[in-house]
Amino acid sequence: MIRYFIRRLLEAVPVFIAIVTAVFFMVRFVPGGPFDRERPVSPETLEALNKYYGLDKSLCEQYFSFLKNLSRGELGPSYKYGGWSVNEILAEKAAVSLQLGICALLIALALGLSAGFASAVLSKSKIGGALSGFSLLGICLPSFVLGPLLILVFALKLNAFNAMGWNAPSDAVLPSLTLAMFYAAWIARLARNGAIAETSRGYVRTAYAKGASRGRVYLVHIARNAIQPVVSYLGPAAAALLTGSFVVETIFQIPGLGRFFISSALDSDYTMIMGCVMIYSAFIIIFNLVSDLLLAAVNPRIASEMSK
Amino acid sequence: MSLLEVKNLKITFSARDTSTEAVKGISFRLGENESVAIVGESGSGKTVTAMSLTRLLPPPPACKVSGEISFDGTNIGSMSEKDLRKIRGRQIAYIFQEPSTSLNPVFTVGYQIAEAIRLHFPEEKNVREKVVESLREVGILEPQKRCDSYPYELSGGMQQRAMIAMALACKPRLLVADEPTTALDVTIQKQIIDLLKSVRQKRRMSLLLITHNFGIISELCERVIVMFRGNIVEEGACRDVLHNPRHPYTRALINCIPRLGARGRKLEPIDYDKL
Ligand SMILES: Nc1ncnc2c1ncn2[C@@H]1O[C@H](COP(=O)(O)OP(=O)(O)O)[C@@H](O)[C@H]1O
Ligand SMILES: [Mg+2]
Repeated sequence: MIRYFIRRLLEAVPVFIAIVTAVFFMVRFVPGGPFDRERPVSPETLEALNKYYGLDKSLCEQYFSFLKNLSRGELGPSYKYGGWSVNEILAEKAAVSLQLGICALLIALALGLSAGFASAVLSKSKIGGALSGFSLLGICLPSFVLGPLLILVFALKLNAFNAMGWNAPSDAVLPSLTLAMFYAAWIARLARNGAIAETSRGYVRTAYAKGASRGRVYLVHIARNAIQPVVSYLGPAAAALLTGSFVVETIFQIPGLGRFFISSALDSDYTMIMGCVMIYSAFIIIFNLVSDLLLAAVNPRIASEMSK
Repeated sequence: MSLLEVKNLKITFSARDTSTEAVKGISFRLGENESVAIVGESGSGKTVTAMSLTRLLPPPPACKVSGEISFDGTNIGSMSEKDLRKIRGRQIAYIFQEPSTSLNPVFTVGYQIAEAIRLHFPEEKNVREKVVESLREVGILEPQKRCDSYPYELSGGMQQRAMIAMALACKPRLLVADEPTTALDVTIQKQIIDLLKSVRQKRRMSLLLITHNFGIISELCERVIVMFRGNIVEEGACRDVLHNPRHPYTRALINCIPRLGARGRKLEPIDYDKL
């Protein structure tokens, strides 16, 4: 199992380098540079800036010095936020997004799994239909509608939470709910469809035939089989949630990483773009691996395939 | 009094606008320690009859069951779900056709057998010993080790043995074996039949063997019930029916038994127009 883990990580290294390389050159082929502002700078200043940041060198040279810095864990200075290094920005902002993302992930799992399984158990009754309707709503409702709606009700009308900001722990509630809703709804659908598909399998009949109760059949026998699509989905979901969301962080004025994904690209802040891309791809790689390991914990057959 | 008594059993499946009567009012009995076979081709209603004995069929409106089923004097049809669970597995246990899909893929064989024991004997202390014992009884080698195997690690024959072990673990009074050998290779089929035979000799237990193969019943059963399209068309002692079938459908089924050494005899397809 450990060998499998290490092998997967080693396999990921070339993929990671390929992504980083592709993005490195792509952003530089896009017209415009980091110092094209609304207010034009004089050609002399521009030349000085480019020279200072090493942008006057050939692409090849730039690429190798980037790789050299990367191998030391240095991502370089941000071109947009003078005086800040990308490492500093990532460390500070990612911590906020990570907290928000973990809250959202836990909410999405708890809400999604319970709603999904409940609607499968009650699939023939009205409650089950209503639950599955709600989950469809959760998928369709965009966060830029849900977020302001929650603010309107819980912050402005009921005064239960702050409308925006990131100071008290309670400030995490509304944004993580907003962020979680789509994932909760998606997980609910995966769990529901998985559970309903499992009910017609032979082992379910066997379980009933040996005298197991309906609750036991669902919670023990069906759940562990039906949860597998959810576990596979957890990898990409966690990567997306934990790296922050542009929309949610903008609505709730949260100083997270999500906004940098968009703004760094718009600003041609080359080093910051690389930082965002790397952190996102690293999360994808790591969380896909984590979800594969979880899958192995759920399904022994997958575990045995891994230890080969 | 018989152990199992079925009177005028009708089973109807309804989809949106169609309804099919899978079983059309059959009656039969099964005595204590008696072994009876139900024979009939695919779709003749054998499985649904077996399932209805402990109300394992889907609930109405999808499936309607009428008639009377009484087990040891109690009416199964009017039982509460809770009392029914005490019958399932403990009094009436099942073996199904497909061992590979009948076992839960994500739990060990030992866990699944232990579950049956725990459900019916919650105060039992030595569950693991009982599990090992039941695996040994069905002829699984290294039962200690096999306890911790997952179904996919076992061959089809071993899986079916594990299913039998699970069914026998709670010492049921009636074992319903629904085509226990159909999904297996011919050589394995013989082993499973022999196993069922030896179990029958060791225990006081009734057996309801469901099959479409007349070839395997005479070894295991005293009586045979022949089903055709939801009806019982013939019933009697195995010997009599095998040697002297009265109904043309029975005759046709018996003609389908492949016999060793009967070279030159062609297998006759059943001509339904003549029935
Ligand atoms: N879940 C079900 N829904 C609808 N019809 C069914 C269902 N199960 C069985 N049937 C019908 O009942 C009839 C008898 O099926 P079955 O008892 O499985 O036959 P056998 O076991 O003798 O091969 C079949 O014709 C089938 O169409
Ligand atoms: Mg059948």
